Amino acid sequence: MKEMIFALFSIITLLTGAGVVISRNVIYSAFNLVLCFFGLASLYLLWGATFISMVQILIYAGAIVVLFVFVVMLLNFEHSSERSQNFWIILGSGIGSWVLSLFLLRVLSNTLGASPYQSAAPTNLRTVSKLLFTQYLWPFEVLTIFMLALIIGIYLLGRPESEGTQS
Amino acid sequence: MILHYFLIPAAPVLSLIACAILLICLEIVTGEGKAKTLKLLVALLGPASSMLAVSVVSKTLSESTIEIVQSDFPAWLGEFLATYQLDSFTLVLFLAISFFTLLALVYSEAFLTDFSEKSEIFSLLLFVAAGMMVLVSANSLLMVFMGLELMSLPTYVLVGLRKNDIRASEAALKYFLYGSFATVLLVLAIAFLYGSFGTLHISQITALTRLQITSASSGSASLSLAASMALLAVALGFKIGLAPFHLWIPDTYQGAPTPITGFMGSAIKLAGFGLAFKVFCSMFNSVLSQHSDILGVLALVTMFVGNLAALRQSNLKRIFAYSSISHAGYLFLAIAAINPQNIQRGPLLYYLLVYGLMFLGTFGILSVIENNRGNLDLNRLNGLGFEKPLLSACLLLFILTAAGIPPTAGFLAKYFVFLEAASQGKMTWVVLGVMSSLIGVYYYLQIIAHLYMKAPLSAMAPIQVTHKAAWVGILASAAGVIYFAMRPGLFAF
Repeated sequence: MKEMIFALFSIITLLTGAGVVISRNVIYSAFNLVLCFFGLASLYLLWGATFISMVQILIYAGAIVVLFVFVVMLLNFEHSSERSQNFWIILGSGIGSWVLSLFLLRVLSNTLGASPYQSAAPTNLRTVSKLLFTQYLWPFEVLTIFMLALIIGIYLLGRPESEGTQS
Repeated sequence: MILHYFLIPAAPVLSLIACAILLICLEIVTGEGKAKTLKLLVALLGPASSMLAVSVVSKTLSESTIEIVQSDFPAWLGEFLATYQLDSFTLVLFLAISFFTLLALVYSEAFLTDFSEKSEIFSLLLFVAAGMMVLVSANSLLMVFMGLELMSLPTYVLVGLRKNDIRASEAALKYFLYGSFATVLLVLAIAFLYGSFGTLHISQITALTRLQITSASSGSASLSLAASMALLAVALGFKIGLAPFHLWIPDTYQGAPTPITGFMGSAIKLAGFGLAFKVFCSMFNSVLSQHSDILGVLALVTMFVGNLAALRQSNLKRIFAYSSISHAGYLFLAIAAINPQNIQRGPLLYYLLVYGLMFLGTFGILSVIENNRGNLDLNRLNGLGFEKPLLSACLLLFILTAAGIPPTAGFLAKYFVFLEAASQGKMTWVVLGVMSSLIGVYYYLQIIAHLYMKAPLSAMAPIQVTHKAAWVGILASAAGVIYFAMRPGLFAF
């Protein structure tokens, strides 16, 4: 039963992932991406990582893709289907990424069998928050500083034109 | 207890962050473009107090070696405290980062005159510096990632500050795309390492790799180790600009505002090499000797590509961008040639500091020229040697340092790196490295020729250093370069 569900959601994830790259319309790509993220979230759920799967849906499917769609809507890509048609670039990057992913897949399959460290106990909200406020406190605090720096950076990039370069 | 074990070691980072936040609050209270001197002072207070904190930390470190794991600690506190590590190498890097940030702040005040959002720029610079400190002091791969991001993302913004300038936008976009790609590879490497070792702590990974190598190693584990090492090398190669991954550097260094380029070339390179040292010499210590040839070839290719490409440039910023690529090659040679049994940090540290001071000083002078003469083509220097003797003398000093002409600190830095390589029996590397630096002498001498031997172009604006603070920065860098030339045995650890 579990294998069936796993197979179903992996197929959904793979197909929609391919759809993101293949489809010519940016909106279709974005919707495929949402479905792809839902598929991934279900896979996480299947492995018992409830927290990660919720975060996946909330942040990726909820926030980031909605942001994509808004940007597409505001910028109004009418002719976005024109792509670089250079055959050699497509061939080169295609072969490169296939070789790299096959190599990494091989490394991964080797490691998974040999590694003495199997996946930890299922994570839930309680364990995650306890870890965040104890042993991962310092990275967590650096993350908040990082967010602050980003807000200032976004203000600098998005400030009104007239104040920018006066000279 | 928490004060002694956490707050004091973290004080250099925390003081930078505190000053950055104070600066933002000050901006809200006083309003934009007001109380400029006060804001500059608060900004300068950040690195200054950070340097002070470093001296306090070094005193506590020497008084009693902090024993991290104590019996009365709860387990998580030990884990928490083990996320960073301070030693004398890290503390010197902290000092250097603070000093470079200080100079970058001074240059931004003096030369970014077309911006009214000074305090935002200052606070971003302080955040970048805090990120670098987090990065070089990290003992956990999670902190490495956080530090790298805190360092990189504000820098993308700083590069693209002049958003109406198409070159600056191109520079920022290129830097952002290459940087993000490097981050992806880094995260992949971290995931592999976590998968094969079950921990993120660098010191534990070091111990586990050593264990794995000595006990008849299984092929699969070493394959995974090699894969993560390769991914890390590529990610770091993008960040510090090694040869096949250097393509963004000339455009980004040219398009960024000149004071920011100086900051990127000195401080960010320094932090990147701090990380590279941590990764290759500490974490992968036990497998370094197997892979040192690959790293050495990477370093040699980098120095030749940088020096050969610089020959054909006519823009000063591009010349120094390629020069920084070739210097990255020498710096990486210092890492590749290290003896894993007896790690000498001196050559790398000496080179990093001399190179950083040289780069920041040069870009201070280039900012002066750019502000007066519009752009930085090579012929803008014509006749400057007699118009502004002191400024040109400083530039001459920096160029001789970069070229590695004997009495300067640049020569000593290269000499130490080559000595290290020779002691490891890598004579080919030494010969090729010397050849590459001889090629480099050509374009450095070309700049000097423009400075002293060409007649000035007609209708060129006279050079004026409008902001006296710029002099402080340039002279401080020059004094630093001279000081290092006189004290070659500064870092004997």
